[in-house]
Amino acid sequence: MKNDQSNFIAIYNQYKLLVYNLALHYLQNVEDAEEIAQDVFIQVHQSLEKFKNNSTLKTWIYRITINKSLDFIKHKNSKKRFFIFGNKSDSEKELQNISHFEHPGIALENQERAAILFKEINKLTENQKTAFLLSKLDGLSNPEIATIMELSISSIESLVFRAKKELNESLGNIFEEYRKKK
Amino acid sequence: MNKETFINEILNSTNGITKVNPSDNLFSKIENQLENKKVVSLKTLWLVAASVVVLISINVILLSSKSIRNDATLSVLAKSFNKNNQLY
Repeated sequence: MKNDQSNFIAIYNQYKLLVYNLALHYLQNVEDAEEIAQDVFIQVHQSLEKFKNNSTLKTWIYRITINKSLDFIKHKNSKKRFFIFGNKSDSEKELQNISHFEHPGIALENQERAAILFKEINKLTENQKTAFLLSKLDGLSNPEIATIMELSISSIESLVFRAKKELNESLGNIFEEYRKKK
Repeated sequence: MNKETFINEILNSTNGITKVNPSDNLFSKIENQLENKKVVSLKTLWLVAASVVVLISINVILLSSKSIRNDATLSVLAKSFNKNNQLY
């Protein structure tokens, strides 16, 4: 029993940065990222005995974090859709529109530009978003991403390429809109 | 600023991103949740056990009351047969 506990503590200490920061990349909110980190380590604790070493522990933890983060986003989006039908005051609507962007890993002077980038990243498909985040922000290689996402390396290359292409297009449109307003 | 510069500035806004530590009390929050899950699953176990006992008891009561009624019906039937089969 003591061995299990010290094993779990060791795993937590080894992977807490990975889990928390990956959740931050997906959610851009400190509170939400902590919630995901909790859920991830609880699942790790509960499923550790069943972990069959089909992949490395790191890969397994990456997958749990990605799935928990994507599920959280889906749940949040479905709640937003539900509340659209409720009556809201103008001030409540304004509050909803205010950005909750919060990524403490990004330098202060870059926060505003990063907020624009993440807003567009959040519009990508789940696979494009995951491939792009793991590549651009976690600095993983395409083979590493392929192992985590259980896809071929060429699929990852295609996902990253399409993600970059879509981001270029959407950022280009934003630039055009800014120019028109001026 | 031209379009390409704007796009590159936005795409490069995450350059130099650093890893951030979660709060110090994150592990204790996880431990608390694990403890709560243990307590909840014990409660669930007791509830399930109690439900099974109640169900079995109800079934036993119903079955035994049914057999009492059957016995009563059988004896009435038996009496009526005896009357009818009386030859003399």
